[in-house]
This record gives sequence, C-alpha cells and structure tokens, in this order.
Amino acid sequence: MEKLLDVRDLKVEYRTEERTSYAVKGVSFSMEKGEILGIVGESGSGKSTLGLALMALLPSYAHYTGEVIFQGKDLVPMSFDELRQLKGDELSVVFQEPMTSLNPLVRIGKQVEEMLTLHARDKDRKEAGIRMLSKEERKAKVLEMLEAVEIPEPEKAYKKYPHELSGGQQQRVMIAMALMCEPQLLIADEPTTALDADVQDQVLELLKKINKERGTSIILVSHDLRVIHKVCNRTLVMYKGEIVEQGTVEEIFEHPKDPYTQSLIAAITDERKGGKEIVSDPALEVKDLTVFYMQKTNKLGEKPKKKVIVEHMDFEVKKGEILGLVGKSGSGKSTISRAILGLHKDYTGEIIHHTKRPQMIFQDSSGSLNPARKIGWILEGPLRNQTKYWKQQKQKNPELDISKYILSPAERKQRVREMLQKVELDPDKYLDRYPRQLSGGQKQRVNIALALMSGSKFVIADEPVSALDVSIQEQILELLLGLQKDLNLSMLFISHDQNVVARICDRVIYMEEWTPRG
Amino acid sequence: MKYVLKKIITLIVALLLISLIVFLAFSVLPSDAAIAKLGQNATPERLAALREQMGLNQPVFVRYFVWIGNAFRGDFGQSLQYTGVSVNSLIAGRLGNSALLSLISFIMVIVFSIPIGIFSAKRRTVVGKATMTTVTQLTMGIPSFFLGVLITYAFSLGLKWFIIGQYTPPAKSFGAAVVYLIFPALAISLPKIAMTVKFLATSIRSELHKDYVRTAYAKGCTRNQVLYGHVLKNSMVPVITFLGVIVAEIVAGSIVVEQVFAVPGIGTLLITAITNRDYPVVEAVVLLIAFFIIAINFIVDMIYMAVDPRVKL
Repeated sequence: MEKLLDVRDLKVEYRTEERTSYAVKGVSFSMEKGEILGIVGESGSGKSTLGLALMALLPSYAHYTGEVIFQGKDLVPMSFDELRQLKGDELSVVFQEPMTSLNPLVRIGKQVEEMLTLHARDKDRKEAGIRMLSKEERKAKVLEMLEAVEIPEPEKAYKKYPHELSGGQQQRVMIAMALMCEPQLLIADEPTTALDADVQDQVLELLKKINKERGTSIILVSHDLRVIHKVCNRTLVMYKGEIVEQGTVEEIFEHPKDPYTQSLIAAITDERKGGKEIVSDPALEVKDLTVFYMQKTNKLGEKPKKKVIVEHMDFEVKKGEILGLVGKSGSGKSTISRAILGLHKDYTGEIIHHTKRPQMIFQDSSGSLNPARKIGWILEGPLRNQTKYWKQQKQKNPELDISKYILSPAERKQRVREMLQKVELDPDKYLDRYPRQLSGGQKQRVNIALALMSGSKFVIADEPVSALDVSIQEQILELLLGLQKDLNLSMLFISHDQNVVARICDRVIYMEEWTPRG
Repeated sequence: MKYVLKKIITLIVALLLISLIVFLAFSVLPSDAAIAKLGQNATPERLAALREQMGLNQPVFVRYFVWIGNAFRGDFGQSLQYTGVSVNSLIAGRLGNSALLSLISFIMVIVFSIPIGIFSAKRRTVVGKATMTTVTQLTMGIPSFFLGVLITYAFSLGLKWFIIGQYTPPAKSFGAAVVYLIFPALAISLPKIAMTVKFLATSIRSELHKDYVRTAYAKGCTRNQVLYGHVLKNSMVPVITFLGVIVAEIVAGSIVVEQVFAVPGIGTLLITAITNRDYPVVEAVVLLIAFFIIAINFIVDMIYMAVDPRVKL
C-alpha cells in the first residue's frame, strides 16, 4: 500500500516567556492510505499536540522541528498560505467539543457550505479547471453530505443553529464539514469524549463507515483504549511526549511490551468485582422517592412548573456495600445525591439514614478545596467544627462531659497525619502545601481524606474519577476499594461510566428505571 | 408578544415614577417660577398674584394630577418662563437640533470605533499596545464639556473652520447645520469612541481564543476570513449592549455640550428651564429623554435577538 503520511523525528515545544516545555519529543511513524491509526495516551502525553501539529493548528507559541511528509510534501516548512490550502481540503479535523467548535451565530448549512466556497476559490484549483459551484449545487452537495453522516431531516438541520442540535448531531455536522472536500486524511481528536455513551458508539460506527465507503484515512486520538480497540487497525501509544509502543491493535492488546501499555490494558481488562451478595443491615434506605424541580417561569401570573427528575425510586445501600448508580449526563444522578444529603428539598418519599451524616466526594477535585488554605488546615476543618459544636453544647448544658470530643490542636494535627497516610500521601510533604501545588489525583486523595475525617461510615462519591486520567483513575479506585474494606464503609458510587462502576461496585442500579418517560 | 407587553408596562411605570420625582423635586426646591420671573426684590402681593395666575398656589399633588391628566392627552401645558408659549411648541422647535446632534455623534462612534477596534485587536506589538492604551485612557479621561472648550478654541478661534454661536437650523440649510454640529458631536463622541474601541478590541481578542476560531483555521480560512467571517459577528454581540449604553450617554452628554457650542436644542432648553423653575418644560424634556432611553433599550434587545439566535426573549 501507498504511504500517505510519514512523520520523522517530529518535535513540538511550547515556548512561553517563563519556560519552554517539550510536548512531543521526537516521534517518528508512518501511515498508509485507507488506514485508521489510533494515538492513545493520557492527558499531557502529547497525543493531542501531535494530532494538531500535523495540521499546524497549534497556538503561535508552539515550535516544530522534524518532517511531516504528507503525500510526498513536507508540511513543516510550508508557509501559512500553502498550508491553508491543504487544510480542510486534503487534511481535515474533528475536535473534541462539537458545541464550542461550531460558530454559534451561523446556520449549520452555511458553516458546512463554507468549505466549498473556501476551497473552490483556491488559485491552483481554478487553474486545474475546477469551476466554482453554483449556489444550488453547493446546497445540494451539503444536503447530500448531511444525509451521509446520518443527520435526520437534513433540510431542517441545514437551517438550524448549532445550539438547536444535540451533541451527537453537532459532532456529525463537524464530520460532515470535515468530509466536504473529500480529504485524504481526517484527524479526529477525542471525537467522542464529550458525548454520552450510546451516542459515542454511533459516532465511532460512522467513522468506520466513512473509512470503508470513502477510503478516507483517519487518525483517531483518544485517551480511551476501548475506543481505539473498536475502530483502529493500528495504534501508537504515547507517554510523556514519546511513542512507547506501536503496532496493530491485536498485537498491542494481546502482547503489550511496554510497562505503561501493560498498565493501561490492565486497567480496562481487570477482573470485575460484583457477583458476591452482601448480607447486612442497611446503611441507607430510599423508599418511593420522587425528586423534582420547581421551574421558574418568566411569564406573569404563571405558576412554577414541576419538573420530575426521578419517580418512585426504591433502593437501599447495605452496610459495607458499594452501590453503583449509573445514568447518562442530565439523568438526575447528582440531584439524587443532593436530596440524600439534604441539600435538595423538593422531594416526596422517604430517605432513612442508619449511619451518621453521609459525606460527599465530588468530581471536581480542585473546586471543593479552598485554594487559599493549606492541606493541613483544610483537613482539620471537620475536627474544628466538631470541637466547636461540643463547646456550644457544653454552654447549653454545663453537666455534659465533653472531654473526649474536644481535641487539642496537636491531637487534630495527629489525626490529619494519620488520615493522610491512609490515603497514601506523605504527611511531611503535603501538610503544608496549597491545593494548586497538587496534581488532580492527589487532590482527589485529599478530598477522600476530607470526607472520612469526621469518622463517617457512609460516603457518596459523585463521579470521583471521571475528571482523571486512566492510569490515575485506577489508583484512586484501588484506594477507594482499600479504604472501604479497612473501614467497612458503605458507599453510593455515582458514575456515567459502566466500566468504572463494574470495576468497583458490588451492585449496580440504573437511573433509566426511574426517570419519567416523554 | 409577552415581552413587548412587559416592556410597555415597564415604560409606563418608569415614566410615571420619573414625572412624580421631578414634580416633588421642584416642590422642595427653594424659589419658584414666580420668583424667577419677578426677581428677588418683588413685593409679596405681586408674587401672590402671579402664583395665583400660574396656578402655583395649589398643593403639589393637585398640580401633579392636573398636569398628568393633561399630559396623557398629549398636552404638556404652558411654559412658565415664556408666557403664552406651549411646552409642545418649545420642544418641537428644538428637538430637531438635538436629534441631529445625537445622531451625528452616534454615527461618529460607529464609523470610527469599529475599524479602530479591529485594528487595535490585530496589532499587538509592545509599542502599538502602549500607544493605544495611552490614547484611549487620555481620551476617556477628558470630560465632554472641557473637550468642547478645547475644540472651540482650536477649530473656531484658531482655525476658524466654524463660527461659534452662528448655528443654522437644519430646516434652513441641512448642510450648514451638519457642518456646525460635527464639532460638538466630536466633543461628545471622542470619549465614547475610545471606550468602544477598547471594549471591541477586548471582545475580539477574547473571541480569538475560542474553539470555533480553531475550526475556521482548520477549514482553511485565511486570517481575514476568520476575522471578518467568524470572529467579528461574535465579538459584536456584547458590543451591541454596550452601544445601547453609549447612546444613552450621548443623549445625556449633549445636554451640556449644546450649552458650550450654543446649539439651541433640548439641552439648552432644559438648563434654562431649570434655572427659571419652569417645571412644565423640565417635566416634558425629562420624560422625553427617559422615553428615548427606554426605547433604545428595547431596540437593543431586538437587535440582540436578531444577531444571536441563542437569545430568546
């Protein structure tokens, strides 16, 4: 087969005033026509930088050296205008965030059509005798393409604005746009990451179909090995700006050579927990729970509308059990956790706690830590509150013996140190750090420590790992499993990710069972 | 439709409140129209007689309700300082001048600030940035009336491009009126141009970092196609709201600047009416300005909705 792309010793560095960082440290690979090549790695591995570098779409402070030979021509020394003529025409790209990647003020049809006007106008194409298409011809071509990417009712979609389409449809529009000029190479940078699970599969199927029917070569950049496995023929594994391994998908999955690849594959094929039934008293009972919102209206004299999130929900979390709660984004998972915590008052039914006040671990690990305070101070928070509480009680009732509840500053510090050890952070190193000095995974460890500080036995974890990289996710899940066993915690584990849930939970329930239809 | 209804209700309530406040303000001010007319040395008998004649001896609320009743029928009463002249005819004679001045000022803001804003967003050299910041800060800092004095000094006394005080109304010669009004319009609009330039440039620069701009480059747009085809419209969205505020400020600014350039407009009328405690005129002018500003708000909302399909009112 013919070589489409040959990358030799490509280096990309980001130069800012303060420092220079190397995002891609000299990678070489090649790609054949008609191939689907995966680039997999965690965030910061340089995979997206590599993908975008091929199209010269990086910000101006990125500098390249090396060779990117595309159809026999080196792209690196090309001028802005030479490259511009290739972009969109021979080389196309689909980005991660379809919502923000489309111009919000321009109709879908016009945005897709722009590809035709842009590239029919290029000088050398005109010389080659390709005439400009008429307005009607252009519209017909756009509609044909919208149909090809399986957008329902292309005529209607043509006139719509991006915000009027769903995320999946927006991504289809992006794909339609990318394919408009029949490019040789399509670079898809995390094309499904921002989409819901069932839509993800449809978009991946579409990419496969395009490759098969049109022969378009595709580079698929993803952090998700499963995505790569579903679609690609061959893949590169990137770690810290270097290619640590490359080969066919079968080779990589069955005989990973590099330890990093091995850990990635272990993370997704790990033995699942589940199966074993836990017999114990309930820690939390939820009976006939209906949660709703009162929607405010702007119209005069109209009563607020009731929007039901879930109806007649029944479940219990047993002591020492991890119960998974799975649902799509927007299905009301987080609202339920808020209702259980008593933060959301609009519900009917019963929520019975058999343990002390439950604690929460959030998805956004940095947002929940006070940026102006050191880790030690943050973790002492629950203990300080406890001391304050009992002192107040003492004032009301002087006979109360509170000595066992009152902790001296030294004792509080000691408890914090112990807790940090439990979440596998070195107390000497981390007590005096600020949250911003920690990585995402470390911050999430602090959050877990914070939730356990007050001695609570029931924890609600709301997407605790979905903002983290795959290899870090694995570590945090291990930690949660370990803590749960040691402390006999009960846990409600909320996630959109089936695989994470299967990995950690004893039992799983699905939001769809209770969401009202229509 | 609901939205229009809501706006109309807001308009009526606002106008009623404003008119009441002006009335009350006049009732607590020392001195009144009779004293203003006869002077401080007038005898109490003559003052009383004139007050009786002007209807000033009635309680303030009675006067207010009589006045508002007439105003609803479009009759804003008689001026107190110019005997026998109706407020309506006083305003009608001056409205054209003020409207033309505000219009010229607004056009100048648009015509200068959009190209300069784009230019300053594009050129980001250290020297260019520093010059731009200095010029805009300086222009923003100078009050319009002082700028008016400088302009008069430079263009009227120095260059003799126009003769201060010799204003020809547009009814006589439209061209001559426009030429004269360019100078007060310059005094009003220069600080606004500086503000709009700064606002637009900031808006463009923040848009340039958005994802859709990257998409536009990926499609193969040239830099100018990205800027004019994609970025400009998006960056105008916040500017539209900003321009609504600017229009209101132009109208407010013209009150003082008309005085400096001796333009017989609404502003001049308002200032003499206040000195002479001519409350029917003040009421009418204030209501007119308030009405205009609320109307501008409405128009801005309409344009906003037309430009940005995500906005639903």
